[in-house]
Amino acid sequence: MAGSIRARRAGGTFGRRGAAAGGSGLGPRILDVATVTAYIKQLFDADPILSDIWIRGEVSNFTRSSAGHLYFSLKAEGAELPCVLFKGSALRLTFFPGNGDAVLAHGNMSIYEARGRYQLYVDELQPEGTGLLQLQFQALRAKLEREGFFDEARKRPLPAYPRVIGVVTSATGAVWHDIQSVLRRRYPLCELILAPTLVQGDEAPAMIVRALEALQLDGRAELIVVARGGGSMEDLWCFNDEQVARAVFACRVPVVSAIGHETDYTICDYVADVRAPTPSAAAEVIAPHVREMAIEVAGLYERLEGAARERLRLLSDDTASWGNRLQRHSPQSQIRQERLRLDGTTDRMARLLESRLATERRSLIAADRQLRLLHPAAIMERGFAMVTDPQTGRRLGAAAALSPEQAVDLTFHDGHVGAVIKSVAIDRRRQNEE
Amino acid sequence: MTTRTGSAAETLPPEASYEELTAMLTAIVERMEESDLTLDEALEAYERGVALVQRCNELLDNAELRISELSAGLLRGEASGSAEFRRASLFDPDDELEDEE
Repeated sequence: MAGSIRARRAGGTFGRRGAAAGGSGLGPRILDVATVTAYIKQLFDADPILSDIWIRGEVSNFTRSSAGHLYFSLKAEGAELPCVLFKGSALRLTFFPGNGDAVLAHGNMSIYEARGRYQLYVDELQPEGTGLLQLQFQALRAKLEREGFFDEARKRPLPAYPRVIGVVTSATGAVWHDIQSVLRRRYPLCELILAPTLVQGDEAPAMIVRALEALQLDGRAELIVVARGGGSMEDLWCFNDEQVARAVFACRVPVVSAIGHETDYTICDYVADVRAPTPSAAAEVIAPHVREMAIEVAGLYERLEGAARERLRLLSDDTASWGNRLQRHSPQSQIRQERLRLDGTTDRMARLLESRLATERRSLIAADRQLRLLHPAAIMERGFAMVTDPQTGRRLGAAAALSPEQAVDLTFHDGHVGAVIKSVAIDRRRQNEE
Repeated sequence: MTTRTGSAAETLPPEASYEELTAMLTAIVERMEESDLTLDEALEAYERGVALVQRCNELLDNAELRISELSAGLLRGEASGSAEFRRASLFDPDDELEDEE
């Protein structure tokens, strides 16, 4: 443009008048307001410093529009800078500014074309005195939280009885020594693998990341402890590094973060699956005490004994009750019962026999008595004689069998007598009856 | 109750961890408490349980904390990860570089 103006002064075909009239191609460029404004805006927006800037100043002319946007100026000696904080960002403010406050504002400088002014479009506001480190910390924390790095849901539980534990810490210094001695006392069943690293300084973040990756590559560690002793915010700064945070988040095994003192919180602490306030506390969190384990075993042994005893008792109770039932049905008792029955029968038989015998005996005795009465000898002893034929021996029992002059024998109880019949007289009445 | 734990102990996996041993022991105890075991089964379970208790106590009594350090090569990010490479940590790290070439 400068060149063409010189040409016009030198050449003079068109002269000043020609330049003022505008014309095409060889005249001075004349731009309209919108174009110029857009050009200026583009300069601002493309500038790397202006598009991401922190500015320190004092708040003044603070107002709030009806739409909820905040307008104020940042003042310093000899200069003033208009700012706008839109409602969306205003809602996220943790600190509400007032006139006269010394603040740090973050945002991008740009042009508000409609009014022809430059202003800072603020997305973050902090009270002055916070310090740049702190701001960076909060910015990264907010960013990672939005990305879900701190989500409780993704935090993994620690293994109850880890066999191999990886430790990312300095090889020198008290921390590695403390972790070893606590675990030696509490839980010597495990193996510790040290992945040594720097724990402060600019080279530390990359080393910490490599240590985490190396432990995972080795593959034996079931959990990893990242530990560092106490120090200033600058000392602990490497554990606020974004790459360290991403490495901890991406770790395949649970990570326990134990950095600094109880009150120190680093990004690493937020991302880790578990945060321990100190490295020694970490050693206690990751493993039980062997004492507790021995008690657990003793408890199981007691239950084992108790269960075995109870089982045996139940089995023997079973056996006893079966024994009783068997007893009741055993041949032995049946035999006994049969024997009792037999005895009863035998008794009855004996009694029956006896009574029969008695009855028969009585009959016999009666018969005997009768016989004796009927015995001729008894009759003869009463004085009667038996009359018999002397030749045949036949008894002559009736008078009709006798005739006079007949010879007969008379048998008396004490001997025989021969006799001759003198006379016979038959009793007619007795004859007829017969 | 006298038992022979020789045969029961032999069947325990030699590399079992405390966690695995107590899990097996708990299973046996629960089985004895809940199921209807015959006399043979109960005695066998008890023997095995006692063997497990003894092995747990051995583990706890004889434990010694083992310490090791990752090889320098692994820390430098050389992706080998084999046991061979881990043993290499006993040597001068510079030797490993020569081998790589």
